[in-house]
Amino acid sequence: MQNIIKKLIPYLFVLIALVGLFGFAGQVNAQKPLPEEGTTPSGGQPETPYEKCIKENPDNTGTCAGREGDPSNSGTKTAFEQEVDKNKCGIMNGSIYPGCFIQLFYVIFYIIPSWILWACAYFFNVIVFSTLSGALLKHDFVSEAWGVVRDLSNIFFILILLYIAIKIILDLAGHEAKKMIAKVIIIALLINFSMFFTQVIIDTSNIIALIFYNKIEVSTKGPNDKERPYQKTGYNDKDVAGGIVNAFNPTKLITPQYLNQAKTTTIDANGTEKTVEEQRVSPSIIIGMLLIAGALMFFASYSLFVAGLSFLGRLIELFVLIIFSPFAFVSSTIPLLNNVEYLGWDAWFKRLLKASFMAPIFMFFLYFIFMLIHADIFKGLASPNQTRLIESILSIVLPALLILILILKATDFAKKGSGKFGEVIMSGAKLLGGVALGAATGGASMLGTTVIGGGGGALLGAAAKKVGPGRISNMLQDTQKFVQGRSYDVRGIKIAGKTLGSATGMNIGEARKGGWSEMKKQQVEKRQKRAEELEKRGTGKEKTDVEDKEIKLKEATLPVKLDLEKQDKLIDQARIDLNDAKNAGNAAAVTEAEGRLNAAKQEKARIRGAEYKDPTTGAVILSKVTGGIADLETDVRTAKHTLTNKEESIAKNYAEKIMSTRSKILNSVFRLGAYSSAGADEAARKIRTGTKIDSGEKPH
Amino acid sequence: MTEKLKQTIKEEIEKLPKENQEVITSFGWEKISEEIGKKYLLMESEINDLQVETLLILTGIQSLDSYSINIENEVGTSKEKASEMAGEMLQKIFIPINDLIVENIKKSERMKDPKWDQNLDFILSGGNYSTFLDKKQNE
Repeated sequence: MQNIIKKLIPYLFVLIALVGLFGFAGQVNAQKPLPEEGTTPSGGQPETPYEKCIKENPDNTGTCAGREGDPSNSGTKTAFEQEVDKNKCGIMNGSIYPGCFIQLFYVIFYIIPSWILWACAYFFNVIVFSTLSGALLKHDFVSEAWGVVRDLSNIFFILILLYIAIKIILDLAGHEAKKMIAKVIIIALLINFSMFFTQVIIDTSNIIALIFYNKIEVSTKGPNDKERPYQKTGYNDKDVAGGIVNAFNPTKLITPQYLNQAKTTTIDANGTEKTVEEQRVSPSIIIGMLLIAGALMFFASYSLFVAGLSFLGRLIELFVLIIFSPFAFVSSTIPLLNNVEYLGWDAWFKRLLKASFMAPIFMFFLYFIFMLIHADIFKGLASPNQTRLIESILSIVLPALLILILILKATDFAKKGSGKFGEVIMSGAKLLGGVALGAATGGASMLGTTVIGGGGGALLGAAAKKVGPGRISNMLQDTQKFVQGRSYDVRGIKIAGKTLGSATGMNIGEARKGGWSEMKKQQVEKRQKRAEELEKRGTGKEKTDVEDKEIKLKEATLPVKLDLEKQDKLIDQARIDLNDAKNAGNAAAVTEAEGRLNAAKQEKARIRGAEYKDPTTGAVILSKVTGGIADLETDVRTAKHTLTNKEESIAKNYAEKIMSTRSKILNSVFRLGAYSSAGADEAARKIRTGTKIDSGEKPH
Repeated sequence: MTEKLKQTIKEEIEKLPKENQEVITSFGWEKISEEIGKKYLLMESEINDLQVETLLILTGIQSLDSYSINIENEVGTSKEKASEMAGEMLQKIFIPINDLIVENIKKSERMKDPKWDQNLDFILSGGNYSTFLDKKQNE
């Protein structure tokens, strides 16, 4: 009872938490949008005075010339662009190298990656928030598609009832069929709430995830200490990706500060350091900086894209899971459908929990990443006054790698962690579900166990265990025994003291004795006997070999049996004499007795064809005789060892076979569900450990 | 017991799992086997042979089924005395050592957090505590 309470306590807390979330607390929403100022409709870049002027004077663009943001105005170009402009590409007014090279690198490693990063960042921001808001999952098309699947699943109920009816008539599943009837009735009611139940789980996960999302403090402050404006999409998202990228902004690499550093080189002139400032940044440094900035931007794009993609996968999976929830509910009624990949109840429920709870786990990691960003752990790397170029580069590259790898790991952990989390939740759900369903079925069985059938027995047992000692538990256990002990075989029903067969005069065979427990027990014993048969069949050669060797040994021993017994007596007598002589301190008698003892031992060894060594020198006096008794004894021992190994190997292989999913599915199909998977596992274990058959026979 | 045999025993026991090593070393089976050997009037060299045979069983090199025959052949006793000696060794050495090992497993950390399949194997094997030992060692 204490164990049950211990197990239930965590789930009670979860329940309290859920009640808190759904019952009393206000609705949790994403952070409200920040006021939008000076943003362009499409870019997310601040609206420049030139763009504003163009908007106000669309017919007279000439008045805007020279304003900040005018493309023709070189004053708006960044320091790095101005540096790049110094290296023009051309034959007449420029150079192939370094001009064209730098221009090419600038496009490939700066312009393109920054655009890709911008796109990926938006993708990440939008997809993360849109899947958390849950609005997409409540779209009309989802409920329409769910309705179609529900209607189709309802048709399935008719087929399932027909299937059960045929099984009952043909006595193909015993009480298992009646167990299905109970399930079908319950599930036929619950199927109409399948979308609701599914969305409760999804909403729970989203609410937990939003708690972390809302706690994330996004800061996109640049070097000028101003927030970078961010244009929200229709989903009201926030610039999470911007906050991440801002922590290691790769474009910092190419600010005037960095360019000035790059122009300054320190050389060693005859043992003294000399600082030289160039007019231009060396082309190789520009290309190097471009490569680093490009690589960081590509990596950041990749990380954000992968994380976003996993959220997109979650969205798609949740769509499918909601839509097919009625089928999953239906599949839980019959064992055959229950194991269907992806859509069967077990797989569906696991996937639902996995997909749902991936979001809160990821959000927790994201929250952790932002804590790390705010902590700025690499702050001390670059001192503000005497920062060298390499320190500046490292102060960007190190946090970038740390954060981006963390994002990738967070995605990975979220996927794996949600699976584990799902398993824990599921075990809890099973525990609570067992109590609820067991009690429900138990109540029903108390009203009419003969109608419901023996299938509720297992649930009743589980319920009784979970309820613990007490009147209700005893009642459940009594009902379980009654339910499980009955076969519910229509052929066993007595009409006016006669069985159905004898009353109707039809030969419908004998009623099956016992219920599910009996069937499982028989299944286990049958498997054990089968293992025994296989061992017998598979070890025929080895057994014959052992028998042959034993016969040979017997044949060799029989003629010399009396001689061996005689030597044994001589050995025992010589030992007694030797001991007496030692006690008497008679050295001559000791030597004489020792001589007799050794002689008898030698003679015995000779008869047995065994090796005999001189007791004092250790020299071999008699060598082992091939085909002698000693040799034959070794043969018997080896043959027995081979036989044991073979038996163990066969038992192991057979146990593995019956435990395999393939075997379980095939048996369930061929036996039309009247097959216990737990029974197969039990049989396998008994075979492996060589346990006796319950009826008293030993398998091997 | 010769020094060479002592060294051999030490080397062979070191190959065993730690739990078994501790029990076998501290149990003092050498002394008991010597006393049993003396009781059956064995000479010193024969006692050494008996101890070697016992060691082979303790280290799992030989099976207990062949213990009696091995005593008869290797020590050089009569069939009857070998059987009696094997029975006495079983009662005074093998069973107590086995019980101590089981006791240690029960007390050890391994028993505190067994896996579900170890429990099941334990029940189905009729109480074989090595199920807890083997699984953990295989990990």
